Amino acid sequence: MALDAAKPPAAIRAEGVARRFSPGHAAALDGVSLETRPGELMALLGPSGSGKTTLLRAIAGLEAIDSGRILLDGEDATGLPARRRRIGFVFQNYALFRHMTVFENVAFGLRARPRGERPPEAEIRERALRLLEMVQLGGYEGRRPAALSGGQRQRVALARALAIEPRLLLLDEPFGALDAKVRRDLRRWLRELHDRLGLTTVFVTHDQEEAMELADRVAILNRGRLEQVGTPAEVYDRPATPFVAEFLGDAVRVPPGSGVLRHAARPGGVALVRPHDVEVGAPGSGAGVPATVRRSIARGAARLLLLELDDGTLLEAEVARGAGDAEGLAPGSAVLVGARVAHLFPEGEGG
Amino acid sequence: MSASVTARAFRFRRPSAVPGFAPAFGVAATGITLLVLVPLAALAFRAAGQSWAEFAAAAFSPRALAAYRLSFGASALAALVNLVVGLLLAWVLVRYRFPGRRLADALIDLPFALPTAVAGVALTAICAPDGLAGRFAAGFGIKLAFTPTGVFVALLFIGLPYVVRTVQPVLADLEPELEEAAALLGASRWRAVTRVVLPALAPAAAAGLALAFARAVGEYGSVIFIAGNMPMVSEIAPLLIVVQLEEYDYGAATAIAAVMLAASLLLLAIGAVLQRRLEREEAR
Amino acid sequence: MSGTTAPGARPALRDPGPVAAALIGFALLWIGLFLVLPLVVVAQEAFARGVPAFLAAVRDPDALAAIRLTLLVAAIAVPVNLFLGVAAAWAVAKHDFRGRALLLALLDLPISVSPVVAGLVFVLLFGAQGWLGPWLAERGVKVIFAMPGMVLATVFVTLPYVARGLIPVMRRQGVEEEEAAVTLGAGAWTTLLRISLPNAGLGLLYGVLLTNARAMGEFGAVAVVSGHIRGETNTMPLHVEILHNEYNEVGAFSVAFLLALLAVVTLALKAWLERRMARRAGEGG
Repeated sequence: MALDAAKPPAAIRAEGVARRFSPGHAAALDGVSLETRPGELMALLGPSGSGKTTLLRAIAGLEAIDSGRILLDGEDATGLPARRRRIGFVFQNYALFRHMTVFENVAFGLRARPRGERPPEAEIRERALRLLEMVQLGGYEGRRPAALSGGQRQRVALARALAIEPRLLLLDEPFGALDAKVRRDLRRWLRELHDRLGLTTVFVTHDQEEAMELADRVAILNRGRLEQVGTPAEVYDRPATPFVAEFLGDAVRVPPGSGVLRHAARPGGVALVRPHDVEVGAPGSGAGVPATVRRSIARGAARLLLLELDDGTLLEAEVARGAGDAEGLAPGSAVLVGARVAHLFPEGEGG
Repeated sequence: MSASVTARAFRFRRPSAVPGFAPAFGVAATGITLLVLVPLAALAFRAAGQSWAEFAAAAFSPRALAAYRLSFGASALAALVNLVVGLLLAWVLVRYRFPGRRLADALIDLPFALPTAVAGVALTAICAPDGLAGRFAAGFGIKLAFTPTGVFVALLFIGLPYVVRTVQPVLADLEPELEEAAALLGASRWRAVTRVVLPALAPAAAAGLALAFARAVGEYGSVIFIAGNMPMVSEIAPLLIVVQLEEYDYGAATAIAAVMLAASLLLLAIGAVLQRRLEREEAR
Repeated sequence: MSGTTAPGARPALRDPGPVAAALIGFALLWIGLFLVLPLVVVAQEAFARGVPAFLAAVRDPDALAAIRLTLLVAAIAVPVNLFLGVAAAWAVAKHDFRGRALLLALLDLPISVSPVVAGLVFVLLFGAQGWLGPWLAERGVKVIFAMPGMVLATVFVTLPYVARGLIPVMRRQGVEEEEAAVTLGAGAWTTLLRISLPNAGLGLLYGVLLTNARAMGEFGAVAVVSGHIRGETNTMPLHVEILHNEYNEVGAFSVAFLLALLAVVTLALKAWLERRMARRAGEGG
């Protein structure tokens, strides 16, 4: 314990957090325990209904929890009302104050402080304008939210949250409502901002590409339970559960005894194979089991082959664009396939 | 509000992050109790304090029954007419553009904003034998003023906005895609409107109808000028209450008021049930 | 705003020309007959004997006393109902609790109760034979047949309007901005005054306008409670009745004209506010 005392407490520590919205319905959160590392950018990833937004809101104090604890900077904040948690929160739809200007929105948190703690108006002004510069909206302070684009509103929401000098930052699907191109640009920008500020940040997303690209660590939730936490590489290469394997990277299930697998899975177990781990070779080329190419789909920089094994199993293989153009891989061709890497799990767990 | 208010078995309030519930609710509950519940309790107690014979003699006397017939009858008729006209007006105001539309829309609220006494004297002047409408009706042999018909006309005025205002927002927010789908499926405009749009408006219309009816039953100011106020013929129930009060017959006044209050509550309840039933049907 | 179908925008929703024309015609006729005509008649009768007669009627001491009393009653009733209405609307619109439907129903109750019954219940409470009658008489406090009673009756009758104006607007706006304010450290008052109310601006203003119009125009309840004592407990609507019963038509309609003017101004203000709000919401987008 003495060693732990030397480390600063985690910005966020959730212990066994549970929440059920109405009796008889499934639990929104089912005993989730999670801890952030100082200054990290963590993604809460999962399908809709996985509880990721509920967890985020619970950390912020916007949702009550039925059991468990939430500790912020080592202190039990479970009973602390939202307004005293000093957490920056960016809502999915930004929740900008529609009747206030951009400036007034950003200055709001500072002005809402009780007289004793409020900085002088001149300082508030200076801080707000500086924040707007930082989010590249200098000169926009007089505008109203209705006159801004989605990406601009998002940045105002961010500036507003940062104005109160929060101890951590929470973002609920920050890029959900934006076009693909704007989304990509903002992603990069958010990462740079985070690196500059060094603030522990947690964001919720259902987009795995986004999570993998942005986050230092990814926490994957499913139906209110935490499936795995790890770096993007860890969760991708060493998925802890079938759900994680299937959720990240288009894995396909194959029967445990299938010849495609180098090591047979235990009977009753689950075997998952990702398209780019499947090797496709010409008949007679060596290892692998026979399969027929059913469809060949050009997808961006790669080519996706839909293969059918002799026992009827359907498999997807990703090959380089150039290789796929070869005649031997046209639909109807016979090929040999083998999985270079497969993810095996003992029980037949659900996805 | 503490975020640790956990969702236990019995909850008064679903915990939320929005603050200030306790004082807001406290003020509202106190105000309503003092201003609404206590006075109405006084009425209920006073009515209950009488013997049944006394109560029935006043509340169901021939004169009272005639007054109820007039009040409820004219109100029901006026409310039904306002239902049809209200739907029509809402349709015209929402779906069409024409010069003066905005003015017409603003005017709809006039019966809300205009003092009932002003409406009363104005309608009387119009429906009197020498007034515009009075002369017109006389041509058909109908006497408007100082008759039950006059009561009906006044209640038409009073109830005009209710259905229009409850239906308008629903109509305005209706997805155009519904009617487009109907058209693509081959429905005539009439069919599309009656089978697709009107059912969607039914809950709002029902609510407006109940409100218009309840309001009309208790209406006083706009009616007493134009009604003949003759007992048994053209005397509305609220007027009967006032007459009893002027004769210091508190018991009788209370009895009739209790009947009217019960009727109001019943109408509100029916309106709410009807609305909920229609909403459920709409949601399929 | 998916619904407002401007003609030509959506061909499948267009009604046949003659039908539309007939409907519009009927609507205009009905509105003209029931809404415009009464206003015209009030003006016509008020000035039937020219402007001097109108002015004389309005400047009559009893009329002036009635005007003063009307303004005073409204000046008390409106703020009281504003306070109550905002509290009730905020509790109902932004929170979820057991008995919410009950509170809503109770709020709406005064609308469906006859104003005569409303006046009666206060007579039963405060009248000479009422619950509190003797207690008040001992202390020489007059509620019925005096101003306090009239204020109470008016407050009762106009109770619902602020809340009814606010609640739908507040509900439609949801609670997200309030939640955002809370994460930024705002307390209950700040959230209410700087976020919720300004957003519900139109609903609030219209509720206040309507409350005021009905407070000044209340007739039935006040008639029962006031005792019709000229010069003392007469409000403008009651004064209209008295003059009408004395066959002083010009006098009655002159006072009625002022009230009608108030109603028209109320409606005009509402329409203007709506236009401003619509324009404000539409810009940018």
